[in-house]
Amino acid sequence: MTDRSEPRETDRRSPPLRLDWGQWGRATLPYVLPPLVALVAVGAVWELYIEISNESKFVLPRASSSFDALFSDPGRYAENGLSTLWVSLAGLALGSGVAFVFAIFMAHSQNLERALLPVAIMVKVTPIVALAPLFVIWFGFGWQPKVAIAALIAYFPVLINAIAGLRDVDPRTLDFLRSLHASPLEVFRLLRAPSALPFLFAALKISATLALIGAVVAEFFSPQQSGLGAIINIEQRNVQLDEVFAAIFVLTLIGVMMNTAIVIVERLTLSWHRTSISVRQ
Amino acid sequence: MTLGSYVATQAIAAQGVSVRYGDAQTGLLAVDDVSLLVAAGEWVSIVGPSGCGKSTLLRAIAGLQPLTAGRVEILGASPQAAQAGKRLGLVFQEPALLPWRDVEANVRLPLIVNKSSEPGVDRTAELLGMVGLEAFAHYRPHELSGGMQQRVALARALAHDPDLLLMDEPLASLDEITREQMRYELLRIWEQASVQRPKTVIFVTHSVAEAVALSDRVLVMSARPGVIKASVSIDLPRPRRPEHERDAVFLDYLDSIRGQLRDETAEEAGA
Repeated sequence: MTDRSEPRETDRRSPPLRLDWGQWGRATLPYVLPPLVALVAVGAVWELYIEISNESKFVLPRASSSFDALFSDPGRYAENGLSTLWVSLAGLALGSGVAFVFAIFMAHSQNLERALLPVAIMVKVTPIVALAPLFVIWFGFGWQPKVAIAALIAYFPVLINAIAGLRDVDPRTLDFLRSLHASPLEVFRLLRAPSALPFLFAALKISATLALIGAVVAEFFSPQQSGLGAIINIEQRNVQLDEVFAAIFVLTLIGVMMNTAIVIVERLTLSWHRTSISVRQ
Repeated sequence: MTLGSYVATQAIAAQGVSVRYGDAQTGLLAVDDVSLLVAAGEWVSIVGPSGCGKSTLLRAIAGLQPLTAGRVEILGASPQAAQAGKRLGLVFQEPALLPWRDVEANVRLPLIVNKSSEPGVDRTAELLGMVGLEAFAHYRPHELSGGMQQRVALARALAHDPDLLLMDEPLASLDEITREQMRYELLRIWEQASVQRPKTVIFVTHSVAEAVALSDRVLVMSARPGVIKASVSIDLPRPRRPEHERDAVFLDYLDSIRGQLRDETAEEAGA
């Protein structure tokens, strides 16, 4: 009778998320092209510097020779890159999974939070390189200590953000559910967990990078000698710095890919959230 | 819908209700020794200045606010029993919808929680029609205007066919034009929803005109401590029409209630 025929922005529902490649390309190019240009510029300055300074390749190799190293044995970098990626993802999943479960209990009980948060902080501030050799002793020579180290470094942002997110609920919506005698499980499922999602995605972006760092540190110490961390370790001792830079480049690529994947899932999941809405407008 | 026809059944009986925030001696006494009887099907409004404890009293009736003293009975049982039986429907100043659920799923919310209570018929479609939003069933809340969101909140509060409708300034966040239209929309929806089961209403508001236009009885509340200062029965015929607002009787009610509120603010300024 009053405003039933005047929705706020458009006269349709928000468009369904469909991939139109042409449109996708036009939309993505402005984001891909500038960093690409910047990267090429950095490479050029790098080459130029070595041209002028005549720096020894045992101190700083040419950017081009690092690419040569990468493409002369792509299989080696792909195989070890996949190993590092797997350790990072497994560590991220384990660390954030355990952190989320703890967060559920800590968000519901102030006493539990007071008891456990100092422990979590103590674990977090312990330098990971000090723990890595111990983990090899405790968890063996395989992938297990590596995943454990990646998890250990990745859990903290998820823990903190999940506690905050699970508590960041609209008090009136909570009143509404309580007025219907909703169980704590129903309140969790219908209100708390969805409310925590924006916080969780923010945490995952930080934790993904941390898990990658954890994986590389673990590979330094692991006797297994696999992963990009192991390549860096070996080639650095051999003073093959072009190989070291090639490994670093692949690591960067993995980090960017993990972050991008999380951002895409976030956009698809949080289409209702004000951050996505403000991006659309 | 008048007091007389339902006098035998009390929907709400509050006796000596006090709520004190914080320290037991020095804390703020938000509600002080309030007693209240509301008949089934009656529409009672509570008006008063900001911070006089209206909302606290409403939350106490809903069993969401622990009492410092006194007791509340809803339909002869505790507020907690009323919650368990899904007898309460709440509407707030903000729509407080779940932004990730569409309109229909928001309205259905009361039906999917606490299923141990009587299952109830799914009247979602009917309710969406009643609030004029049948075309928007699959919109997300952020795609709707404030007035439309508040209609969704109203439909949600009615989805489980409650006996009590507890509304805390439900029109206060709307713009003036929408607010005046919603006043009679609200009445129409209440009358329609009450056909199956009479719905007792507690309606908290700042607006005296709103209170007189909608209510069978207006309670004037004063601040610090929050007590009910006056109870004014509104003897205007139902169904209420916008034309009634021009009647001399209507204006007399306005004057008398505004006078009570003026005394209240004058006392506070003098104190």
